[in-house]
Amino acid sequence: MTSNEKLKVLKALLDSLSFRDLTLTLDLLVTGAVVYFYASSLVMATAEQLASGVWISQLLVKVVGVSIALSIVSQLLLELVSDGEVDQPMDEREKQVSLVGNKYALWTLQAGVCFAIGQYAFEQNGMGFAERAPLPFFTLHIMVGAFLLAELVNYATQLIRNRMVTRYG
Amino acid sequence: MAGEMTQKELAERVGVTRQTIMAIEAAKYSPSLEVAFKIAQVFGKPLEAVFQYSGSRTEL
Repeated sequence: MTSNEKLKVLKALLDSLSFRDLTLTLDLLVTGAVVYFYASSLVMATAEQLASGVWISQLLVKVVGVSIALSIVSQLLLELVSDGEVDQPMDEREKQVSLVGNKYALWTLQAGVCFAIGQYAFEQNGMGFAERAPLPFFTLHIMVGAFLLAELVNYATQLIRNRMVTRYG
Repeated sequence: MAGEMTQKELAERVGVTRQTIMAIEAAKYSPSLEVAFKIAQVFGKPLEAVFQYSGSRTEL
């Protein structure tokens, strides 16, 4: 494929993107960045930090801060590129797609919470693998992870549903 | 679609997004009665002249 053809493909892709797609893509990227920040902080932390409740609390506050800052930046970007579309409400199909995304996000969150409850119960009773949890405060990390994963699932599901329509259009 | 009208123009007149019009055309989305009537109204045709029920399942 020549560079000219690649440009045409890119232009066709950008033309087919709705404002909702753009919003969802940015939300997905922001959530991905928050996941990266959280995961990399855990990976780079020392054993003492991971075992410290104060350090974990500070990390969670930082995660919320990063999330808010990135959301503000993405909303400002959307406001800049939009032609008044930011203020327009979703239409009936977009609302349904949003509900489908919310449904899968809820399932993900419920699965994560159930896993966390199970982990906590096993840990408290000194049973099974829970005794060999890979991290201190593992139950908390499961719940934070489930929350972030649910957000990713929500945005990804909506994007996929919207793109399926565009592809067949 | 009905001569010269673009998907964008139809979407604006009906009050939905262009992607929704594309989805309806591709039988990937069944519109509400309200939107179906609005589309028929834009074309100046009765509902049954614009939409036909084929019995096949449409996906969102």
